[in-house]
Amino acid sequence: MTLKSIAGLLLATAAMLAPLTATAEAADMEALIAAAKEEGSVVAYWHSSRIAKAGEAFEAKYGIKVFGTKMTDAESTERVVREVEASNVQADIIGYDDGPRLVTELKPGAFVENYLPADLAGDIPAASQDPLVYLWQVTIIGYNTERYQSCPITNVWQLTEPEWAGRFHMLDPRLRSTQIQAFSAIEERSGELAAAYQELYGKPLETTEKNAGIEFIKRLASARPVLYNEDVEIAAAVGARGQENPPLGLYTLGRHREIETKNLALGMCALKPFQGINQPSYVQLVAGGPHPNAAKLLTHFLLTEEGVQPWTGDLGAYSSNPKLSSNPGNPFPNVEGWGTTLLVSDNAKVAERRQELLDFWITNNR
Amino acid sequence: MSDVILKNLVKNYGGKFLAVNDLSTTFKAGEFVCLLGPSGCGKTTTLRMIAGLERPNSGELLFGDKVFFSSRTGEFLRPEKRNLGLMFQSYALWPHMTVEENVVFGLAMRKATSTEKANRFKELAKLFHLDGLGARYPRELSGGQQQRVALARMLAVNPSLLLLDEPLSNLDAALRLEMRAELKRLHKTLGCTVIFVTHDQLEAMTMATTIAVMNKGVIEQMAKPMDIYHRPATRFVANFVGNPPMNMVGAAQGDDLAAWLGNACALPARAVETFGVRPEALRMAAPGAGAMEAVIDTIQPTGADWIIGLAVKGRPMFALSAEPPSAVVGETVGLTLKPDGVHAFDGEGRNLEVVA
Amino acid sequence: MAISTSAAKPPLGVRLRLLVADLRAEPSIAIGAVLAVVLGYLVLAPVAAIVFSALRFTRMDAVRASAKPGDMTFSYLERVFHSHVSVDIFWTPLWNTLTVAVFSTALAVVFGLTLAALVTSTNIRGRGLLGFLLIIPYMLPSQALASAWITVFKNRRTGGAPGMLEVIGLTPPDWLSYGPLPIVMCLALSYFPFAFLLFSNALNKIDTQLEEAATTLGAPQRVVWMKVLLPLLIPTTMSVLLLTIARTLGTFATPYVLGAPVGYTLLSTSLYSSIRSGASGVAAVLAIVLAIFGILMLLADIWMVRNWQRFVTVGGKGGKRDVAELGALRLPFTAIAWTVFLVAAFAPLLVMLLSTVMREPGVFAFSNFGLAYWTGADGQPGVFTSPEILTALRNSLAIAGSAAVLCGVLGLTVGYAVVRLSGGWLAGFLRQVSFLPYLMPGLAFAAAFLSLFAVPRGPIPALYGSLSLLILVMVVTYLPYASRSGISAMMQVGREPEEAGMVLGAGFFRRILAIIGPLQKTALVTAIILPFISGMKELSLVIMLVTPGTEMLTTQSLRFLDYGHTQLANATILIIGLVVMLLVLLLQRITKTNLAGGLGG
Repeated sequence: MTLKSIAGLLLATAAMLAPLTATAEAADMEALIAAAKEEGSVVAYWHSSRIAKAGEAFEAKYGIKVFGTKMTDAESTERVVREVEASNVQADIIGYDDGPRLVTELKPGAFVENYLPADLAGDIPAASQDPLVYLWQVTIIGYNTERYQSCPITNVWQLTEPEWAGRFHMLDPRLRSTQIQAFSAIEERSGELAAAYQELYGKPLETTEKNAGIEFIKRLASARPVLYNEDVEIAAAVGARGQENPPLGLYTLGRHREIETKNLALGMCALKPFQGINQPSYVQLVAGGPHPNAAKLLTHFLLTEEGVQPWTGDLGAYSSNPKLSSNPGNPFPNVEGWGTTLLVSDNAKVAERRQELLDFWITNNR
Repeated sequence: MSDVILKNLVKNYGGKFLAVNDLSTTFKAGEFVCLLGPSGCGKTTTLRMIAGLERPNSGELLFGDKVFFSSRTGEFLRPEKRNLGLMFQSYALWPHMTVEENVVFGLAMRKATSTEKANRFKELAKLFHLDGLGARYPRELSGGQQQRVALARMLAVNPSLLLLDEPLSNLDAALRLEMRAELKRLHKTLGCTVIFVTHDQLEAMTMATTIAVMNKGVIEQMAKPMDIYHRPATRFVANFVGNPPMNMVGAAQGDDLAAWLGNACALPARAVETFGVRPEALRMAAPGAGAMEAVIDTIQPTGADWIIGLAVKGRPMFALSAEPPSAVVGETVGLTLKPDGVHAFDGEGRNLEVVA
Repeated sequence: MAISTSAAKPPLGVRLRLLVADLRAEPSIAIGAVLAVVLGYLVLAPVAAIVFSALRFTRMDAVRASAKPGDMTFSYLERVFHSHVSVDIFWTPLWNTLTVAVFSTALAVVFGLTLAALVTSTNIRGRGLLGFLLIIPYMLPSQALASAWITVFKNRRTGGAPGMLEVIGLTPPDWLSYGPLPIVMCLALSYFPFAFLLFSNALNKIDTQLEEAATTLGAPQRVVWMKVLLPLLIPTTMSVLLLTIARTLGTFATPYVLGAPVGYTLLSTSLYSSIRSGASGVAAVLAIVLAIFGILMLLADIWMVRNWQRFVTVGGKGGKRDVAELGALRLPFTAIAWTVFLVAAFAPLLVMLLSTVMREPGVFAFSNFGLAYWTGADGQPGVFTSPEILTALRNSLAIAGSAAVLCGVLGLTVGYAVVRLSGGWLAGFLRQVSFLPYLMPGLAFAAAFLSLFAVPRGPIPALYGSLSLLILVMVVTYLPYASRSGISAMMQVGREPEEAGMVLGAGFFRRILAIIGPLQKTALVTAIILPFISGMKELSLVIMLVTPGTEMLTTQSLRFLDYGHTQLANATILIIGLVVMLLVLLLQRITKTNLAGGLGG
């Protein structure tokens, strides 16, 4: 054990024992900053390339260098697990989308640790505290505003109608775990889906499947949506001007910045019973990382205005800290404003169902 | 000047193929030794072991009192340290070096100055008719010139032992004759020991002072060329040396032909397994004049003499005659024998005269 | 006959002395041993890793199956071959793969043979020039034709910049834009140069005395071709078939670009999506299937070589074949040959080039042309100013360049050790182990490397995210080509030149510097440039391993396609083509031969 890590440990212990008064918090914060500066740098495996910008801001503020590498969740899981198992930990902190793997593999295996900055514990909603969410990103269903005055559909069941067969664009569930998370959430909202069906067609849903959610996934898969690797192309396919029959597409709301930059005609659909997905992104400390204090400080930083700005500066992204601002172009200033119009999945349920849901999708997408 | 001494040398490849089998012999200092034998008999392996390019599995190899290899003490002198001359069948001239660079390479390895190298090249160029070719590359030379460059390269460092691995086999007939004479002259002037590997009995007979006939990894006979020819120790040697080869006749009891040959040798007939008759020992005479008769099957004039295919008691034999045959193909002639050209071998292939 | 000394074994000290003497006298033993250890690890460890991960639970699946990660399981085998999704992950992709392989190979052979016959043996116009031009598709990375196809035929099914036909008001149907037809066409057009090269080579090598014999017996030209030449080409045809099929099996870029939008999956793309989605067990099973196909191809090749030896026609004395006068057919045949060039090389290049100089695709107005995509405009960086492309170019040159140098040196070293140690088991092991990567699909090999070297292993530090991992995996993958050519180069030189130096007193380093080195100069340059070319074009191998800082030109072009920037993708491919063409010209200058020599990688 090096002097540095002993110091860090003492400081951390001190932080926990300190009474929760404002002055004590400030003192803890200063001790953390000092310990982090002592460590000098922090290594981050991130789900998003914008960690680079956040890292620059972090370095500008604290003089601590962030070595951020973008990688998919599958890659960072692989690396973190191997590093910890080999007791040769390179990474200090990870940014991660795949909540289900986080709660069933990384946390139970003690590969990562949750860290909630004490001074923010009162601000972050309890549901986002463990594992700590730092970012919510909204994915919506969009339409072409040049061709249609308003969204041509009002109910998600319409996506399964022949008119939209082959004209709905989405990410490939075989490649993107976020789609499977959405499927699980859809399953959870079977009741609402059945009601929406009744409302749209005036008759109850007849299905041989387990529930209305599964039936919806089955019909969506059979309608052969066009599948992508990246959602940039989805927004472009939906919003390109001069189309007679533009498709609908599922993409992150952030793409709407391209209405300006790429002259796309994009609009958001308001649908029943849900109109998109609310995707949480997590931040976790890697167990035994070489720069634990710098990692903690970075976690704290990501929950502040300047730290999360690289993401929340865009449309459709919200900090998990409700006190922070978001892009003024957002339909709602707070993520809570979206209410139940967005799908939110339950990590444990997804972990349990993911293989079956994926297989179900594959077999119906023939 | 030192003898090359081989004691119980064994070389096998991968534990399977036994190339040299318990070979013990001494090549005397100053001799021109030819290792003669068919391909695969171990002659090249023996040469490469002397050069150090192959390490024997066991045994001892000495050059005078210098130990090249000993499996008893674990000594092995690397080829770089043996100070030998070796000439390859392909000459192995380096195509990226000029003639001069090739020749003085060995001197360069011995840290000779450039004047020394230039002088030595001048000397050798004169000796081997290479004047004016120093700046050329090997591919720009004729086969004979390449050969002489290889010789010069080998001799540049004054090696104490010359090893030659079938160096003449890539030359045409006329050049080969010339080179044979040159090598012989060279051996005489330098006086050093030469070990020469060949499968060509003519080369061995014409150049060597001693021939070692090898077969299956052992030396069958080592002797002066004329002794090898006239007193072959084994049936293998007798058959391998001589062109056309010796006629071999099985010595079955009650066979007229065998009885006729047996009369010529005066040896206990029951020990004889095979009789061998040199083609030049078969002399043709008028029909009825000899004790044996034969029918002429073919006649091959070579210019100097005639090779005559005969059917003797229904068995094919060749005769070599300096005189034109007195009869034509299909006619019968009489046969007489020159007794010193008839040999008898026992069941193990040993020459009974030599054994006796 | 007993070996006299074998009775009493010499004492240990003596044997040790002899061992030391051997090692000093024959440094190739030490070199070979080091190579065997290094290559053994670099080649066998990934292969073993693939086999293990096919049979052991991943962490993700272990949690669900309430087993421990690493426990033995057949569930991945079952999932691939016999489950309700095996149709989707294996059987349909298998069927698609075989369909694509059969049709594209057949087309490539027909194109290659026809053109080789026309160019080598008839008086069509511009044969000399065609001989070079027809090889151009070979110099382009494999996604070039796919990218060009998309540029023209892309329809509204996918987003981003619209295709040229779409812009002028013709919407191509899906079957023309995506799926089996375009995949087969693109693969056939990019692989036929290979067939063309082999057939031209074979035709030039066939002893013309064989034809002359037929002609003197009164056979007209047509009969000579049907009864003599074509049958003699059977072995070449077979090896072209096998090589092309083997390449098609592992090909990734073309089916990825042209198949994905309509869900047309091949084994290679199925493998890719398995890896991407973290299903490494399934990916390993698929990789093994592809490797088994590789082994079957190799066995077929060995079997053929043995059975078609009677057709070997090398070493003939005959002169150059007289070109056939085509008479009235000359023009039509000339047209056919040039059309193939136009379609396979010129048009794609032109399309790609055009797309990069037109602001709006397909609008042929003068004002629409400009260098915006190259120099950058409206705040968007162009090719020359794009940090991504410049980084990718630098990375490509650095990675392919260093891998090529390492590969060339390593190949010749393997060749040296194998030739010096010929007959020994060490030489045999080196030969086999350096050939093994040939059988593994690049994607699978890359995946194994990823999991092996993401963390420090013994003396090797964690390599993921660094250029060294890409270099390493490239070196190992190209090793079969490098060591094969290294062995044959060393065989050609033989042992004697070195032994001549040995006897004259030159030590090991002197022999390498003064004899072996200069003699193998050309071989070394060739052994470096060929992997360099392959490395510049490589995609499937590196796609799994690149990270944001280590993108190469090929992967960057695929990213551009993913993001719908067709123009930048095309510009990137053009840059690759240009670099490769320069390398090819350099190679021809140095070796004073034409390409027909030995483009294997």
